[in-house]
Amino acid sequence: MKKLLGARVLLNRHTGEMEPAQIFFGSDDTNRRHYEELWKPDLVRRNADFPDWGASAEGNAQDSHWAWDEIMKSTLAYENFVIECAGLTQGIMNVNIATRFATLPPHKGRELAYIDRIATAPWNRHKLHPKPKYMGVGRTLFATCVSLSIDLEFGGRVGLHSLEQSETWYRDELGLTDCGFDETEEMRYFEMTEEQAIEFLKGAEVLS
Amino acid sequence: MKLLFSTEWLEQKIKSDADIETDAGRALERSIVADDLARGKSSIVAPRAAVQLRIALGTLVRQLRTRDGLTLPEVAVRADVLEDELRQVENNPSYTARPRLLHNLSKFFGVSLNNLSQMSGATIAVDRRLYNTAVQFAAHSDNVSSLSREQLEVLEAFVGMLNESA
Repeated sequence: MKKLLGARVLLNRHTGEMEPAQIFFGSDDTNRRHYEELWKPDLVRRNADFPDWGASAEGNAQDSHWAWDEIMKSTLAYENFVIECAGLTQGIMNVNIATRFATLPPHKGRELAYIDRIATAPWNRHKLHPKPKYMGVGRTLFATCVSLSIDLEFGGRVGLHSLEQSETWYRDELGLTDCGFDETEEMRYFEMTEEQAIEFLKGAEVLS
Repeated sequence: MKLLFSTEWLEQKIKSDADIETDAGRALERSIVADDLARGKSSIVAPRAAVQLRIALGTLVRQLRTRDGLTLPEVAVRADVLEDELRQVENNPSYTARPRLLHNLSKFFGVSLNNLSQMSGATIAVDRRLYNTAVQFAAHSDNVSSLSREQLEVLEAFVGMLNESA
């Protein structure tokens, strides 16, 4: 099932202009085709430049091996989102809404929206392309996740494990709390509290 | 659900955001062997990571039967598996164990089937933590006929991790 949630914008770095973008709940065969025919070959090609998986983080191409059906989880625990612009899939996000819980006070143990994957198309990534095209995919999808969390009455609480190259983004740009290195996942864990979600959406100006 | 942010807000934020990487999620970080396969390495020579995992699997099985004071033929009889297959698992890192063998070993030794399958190379994706721990375990284990107290502790810790993460 694929449903349009709303029209927003992305910045075309090449022209400096904002372009219309569409945010969807779910995905369809068009998104699958974009991933299989456009994303994956680019990621695999880039990935082959590195001697091993760990080093491929340098090229931000660690997701090269995933099949579409693995990405778009069809279980009830997950909500999936895509963002399109210029007729192409520019980003994807999977959110686990069932089995992860807040670790920070004052709502420790309460539900949160846990981002299992938030990925932008390879042609939008700095480390993959010398002149990446669209900017804003990460913020738009994250804001969508905060909206989901509020809609589910999770208070805007969001959690995620960040790739090393994105830690600055979540800590310094989006204002999540850096909860430190999680030995289980071998990644740093970040969490947005209810209070931080209010701050994040400050000035967002959606009244109804 | 409703998007709780306006186009104007988003536009303003994007313009002032640092232009840096934003990708995240444990799903992006989870697999390693599959990545070796995706690189299109030879189908004759097993990927490096898969070989390392199979060495760890062989070491695990050998140490578990050593811990229990059993010979290889004795385990084969008790676990209802072929002796030759079991020998291959213990000694041949190119050998991919069949599901039935893994199932029976899992039941016999009380170790997670899912993790044994990943270590055997029977699955495409392998948990990164499992990979790291298994390689460490194999690197610190000797091929001996009896286990020292320290070796036993390492073995039990590894088995604990396998069952905990199953």
